[in-house]
Amino acid sequence: MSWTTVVGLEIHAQMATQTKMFCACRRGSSTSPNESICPVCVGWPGALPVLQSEAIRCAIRAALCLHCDIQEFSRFDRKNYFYPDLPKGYQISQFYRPYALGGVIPFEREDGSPAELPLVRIHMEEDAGKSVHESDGTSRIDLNRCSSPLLEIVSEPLPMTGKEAASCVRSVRDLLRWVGVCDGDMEKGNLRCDVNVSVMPAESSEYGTRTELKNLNSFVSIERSVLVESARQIEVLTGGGEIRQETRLWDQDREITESMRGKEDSPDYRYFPEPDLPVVQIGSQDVEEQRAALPEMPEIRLSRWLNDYGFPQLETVPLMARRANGDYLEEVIQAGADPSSASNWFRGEILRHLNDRSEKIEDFPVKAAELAALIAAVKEDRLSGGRAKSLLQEALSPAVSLKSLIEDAGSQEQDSDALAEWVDQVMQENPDAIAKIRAGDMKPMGFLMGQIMKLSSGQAHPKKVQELIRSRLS
Amino acid sequence: MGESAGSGVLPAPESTSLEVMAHLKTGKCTTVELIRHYLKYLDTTGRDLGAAVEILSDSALAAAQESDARRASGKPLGCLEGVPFTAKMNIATREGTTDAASGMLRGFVASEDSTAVARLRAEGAILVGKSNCDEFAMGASNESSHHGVVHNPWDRDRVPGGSSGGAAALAGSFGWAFHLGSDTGGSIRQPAAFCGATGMKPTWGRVSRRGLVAFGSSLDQIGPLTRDARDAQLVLSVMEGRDPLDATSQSFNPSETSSMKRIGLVSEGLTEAIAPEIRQRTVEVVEQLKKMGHEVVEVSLGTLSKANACYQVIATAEASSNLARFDGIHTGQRVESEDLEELYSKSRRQGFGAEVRRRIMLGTFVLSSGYIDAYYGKAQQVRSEIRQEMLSALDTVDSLMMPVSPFAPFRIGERVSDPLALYACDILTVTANLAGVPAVAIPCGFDSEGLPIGLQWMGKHGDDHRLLDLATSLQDQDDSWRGLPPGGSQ
Amino acid sequence: MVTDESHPGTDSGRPPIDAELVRKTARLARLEIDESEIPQMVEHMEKILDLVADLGIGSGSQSDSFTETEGESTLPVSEWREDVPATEDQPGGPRDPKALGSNAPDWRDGAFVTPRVVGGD
Repeated sequence: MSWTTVVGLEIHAQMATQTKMFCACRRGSSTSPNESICPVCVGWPGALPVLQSEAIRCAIRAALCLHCDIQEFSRFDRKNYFYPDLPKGYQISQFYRPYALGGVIPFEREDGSPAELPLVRIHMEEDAGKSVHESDGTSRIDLNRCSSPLLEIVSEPLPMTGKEAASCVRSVRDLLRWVGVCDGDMEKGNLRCDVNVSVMPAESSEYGTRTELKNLNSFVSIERSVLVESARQIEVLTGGGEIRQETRLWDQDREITESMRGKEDSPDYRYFPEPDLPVVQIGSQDVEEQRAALPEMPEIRLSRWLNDYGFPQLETVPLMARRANGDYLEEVIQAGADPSSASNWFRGEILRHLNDRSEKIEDFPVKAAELAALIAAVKEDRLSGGRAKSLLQEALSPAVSLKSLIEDAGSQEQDSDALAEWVDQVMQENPDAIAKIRAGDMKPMGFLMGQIMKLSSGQAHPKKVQELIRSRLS
Repeated sequence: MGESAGSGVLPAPESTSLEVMAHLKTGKCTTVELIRHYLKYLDTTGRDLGAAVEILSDSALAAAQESDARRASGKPLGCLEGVPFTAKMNIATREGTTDAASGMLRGFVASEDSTAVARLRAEGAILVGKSNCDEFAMGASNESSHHGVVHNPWDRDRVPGGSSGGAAALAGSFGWAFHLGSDTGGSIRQPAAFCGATGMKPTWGRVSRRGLVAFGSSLDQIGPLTRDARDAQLVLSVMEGRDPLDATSQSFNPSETSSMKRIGLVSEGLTEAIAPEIRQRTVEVVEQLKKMGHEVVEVSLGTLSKANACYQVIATAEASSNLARFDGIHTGQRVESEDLEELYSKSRRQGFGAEVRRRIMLGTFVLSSGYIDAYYGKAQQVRSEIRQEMLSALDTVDSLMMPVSPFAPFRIGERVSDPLALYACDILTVTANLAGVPAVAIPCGFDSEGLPIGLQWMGKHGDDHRLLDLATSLQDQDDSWRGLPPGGSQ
Repeated sequence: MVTDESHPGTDSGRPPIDAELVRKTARLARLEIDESEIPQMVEHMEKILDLVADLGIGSGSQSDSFTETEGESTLPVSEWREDVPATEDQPGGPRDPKALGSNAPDWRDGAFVTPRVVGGD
């Protein structure tokens, strides 16, 4: 018999705000445990949660790019359970009245065809802290992450493969990064995923009993765990067994899923409306403000680049990887550089520099306008390509302005004694070639040019070199 | 009294806070002299009554010295300059502990002031101590505190009411100071009525709850217990208003500016269930109001009979969640165990008293799967009916009046074994909390045993000061509230 | 007359309270309860739930209670807290971890210490 795997996703994305969801502690930048905590996130008696507005704005942007219905009124509820990383004994979440309903995640099927995973809802909630296990049999609780703002994106179940499930999560990651809602680093835990897996006979339309795989922290583990868990379920079912609805843990090293022990009671979270927080009102004006603040979405940018700039598809891959890359490139083009040269410079010099240092374009010290000026200088033959590249390298050290480097270099080269010296030296060293040229054979010209360029370490401007040789010969 | 240990002449014992400020202004005594004497009162009568559990002498005297210096140098003075006050054990203060009268929070140092306390101090009021209360403010007799019982200053064999029993006993036995309590289902008004004090439960959201150890968050309010309504007016005006650290706090405007003319007498507050002498006294006060030119009409609040049941579900449900934070890990006492689940359940079993455990059990049950719709959901529905009815009634009258307690202060130990007997104390007070409206309780004479009787007036959301104006006009007519219990001030 | 065994019920419409329900609730509330305390707890819960039965328990659907937001106080987006970190000297700002750990039963090396935590949520 052939089987179909059905997958539902619950994606937790930490929103990239300055402060936590319900207190004014810094989010996400701590280096030592419990460095960024206050009475609110430690759950002290008398401390009250106060929601922050930027998290709501982020949530609106997320809902917009996943095409959800944003609710004018939404409310927080308490999810009650005891756990050491949850100091209040409840998590503030949205259960009965989430702020966004419906929506879709666009993704690609394994055969490359486009598809959509329908969403049930997105809600806002606070993150929990972390427990670190010690060798002495204790656990240490770090509350730095506690009360950080999260979005939980809950999908409907849909028949798909593990690879496609990973592709859905990647799609969400890319979109949320694109609109500046989430840093999307799974290894840092600011994007996490629970996966519900069930199997059914291929001809069936009725979904089987599902199990939940918690806290998968890489695309590989999503893909592999779905594969492994569906295989386990198929084995159980073909052996005449039944699937128990339960939470299972993914063991990445052994590539197995394991039942969680010690949880005999099914959880009873006793959700009820959070009395410490008023109802959140999201007006149409708030939604429109965020819509206006949305950057150009990836599919629109891509088609514009392909059509207007004529970029080859393959070239766009590194440019599209992060929105900020494309934003920078656009700025360079806006400042007057021609798109094709700008793309070449970006993919060559700039990405190499960033990759070498594991830096982001936001850290790149050269302004887009300056790079555009450099590209223009080359285009107008005021600088050689090699010279321009070395100027860019110089400009990467702090406190050097590329603009002044370009000006200096330009004036230097115009009355360059060095150029004359290089040309004279090469001409003296190659009398045969000179003789041939004088006899009308222009072939050795290329050889001479190459020698001069080599002598100048690529700094000499080819056109000027040619002019100079001609004037010497005439 | 009259004379102090120093050279100054102290105010009369029954003086209100406003009178004390006038006295200080005349220079008859210094703030240090005043505060020193009040600290002595707390340390003697206050402790004898079981009402004062922490006396903050050092910080209070330092603040008094600063106040005297401000006054001497002609610097601007606060509108509560030099007035002593206490905070209930469930209200966070920089000095002292904030243990909510629970063994669970023994020694808990909040190290910063609740917003209400901070605002009062900023206006020159001087925190002198912390008052006893029922554990986590759950009770109506102040018999569940791990600091021990509080005695009613009018009859020390009787309870002071609760949960703000310490604050009420202090306010009822001696003047000068004001006292912060909290009211979830009557915890300011009922003890105020039992002890002959004035007690005000503001509109929900009017006073920031930041720094108040939560019991039933949607019901809790901090409010003053004072000698009279004028003091309550002043204290409330300093504490109230939006606080960025409490998202539910608001600045309220009165529904109108005129005084309250039409008074509704709640007929359900005069049934057989109410002690005859209290009913009798209510009728007499109605006559007095009429003499003062008020129109008094009978109004029926049919939902009153459901209010206590509704309250028991909502208050315990919220409490079960609010008290989950006391887990023996982040805060609270711990019973050591190598097993996490055992650590939780043993720590919580040991840290909480019997009444608190009972309420956590009930609150957990009414929220649990299979029961939440029938109990918590139903109670929310009834709560909205109660609120609707209250607001409709307040569309026809300015204020609704009824007794505070169905019976006089009872004997210590009389109602401890039966939770229902204790919950019966709340039947007339919980309605204001469920509807979120303001309510003021003022002493209105005594019964034949010499025990205080208190009546309460409720108004629309935001009508707190109009209510206090009404209470003031009544207190101006009849100053029997001025009397202190015999021996109370010693 | 036939009684439905799964719901023996009472006159007031409250569900039967038995020792197992008390044990289950106590487990959910993380409150250790001694077997000897159970009869009294059963009695108290019965009494209180009989009182609460005045509400008309079980009549009609209450699901609106959880989703209805009308009449509740609301805050528009712009009135919530601004996303600006507070400093230690501000009310509502971060606190020295040591001070925050000082009220915890076991605080070592800048962390809350617990018996080994199994699993995760």
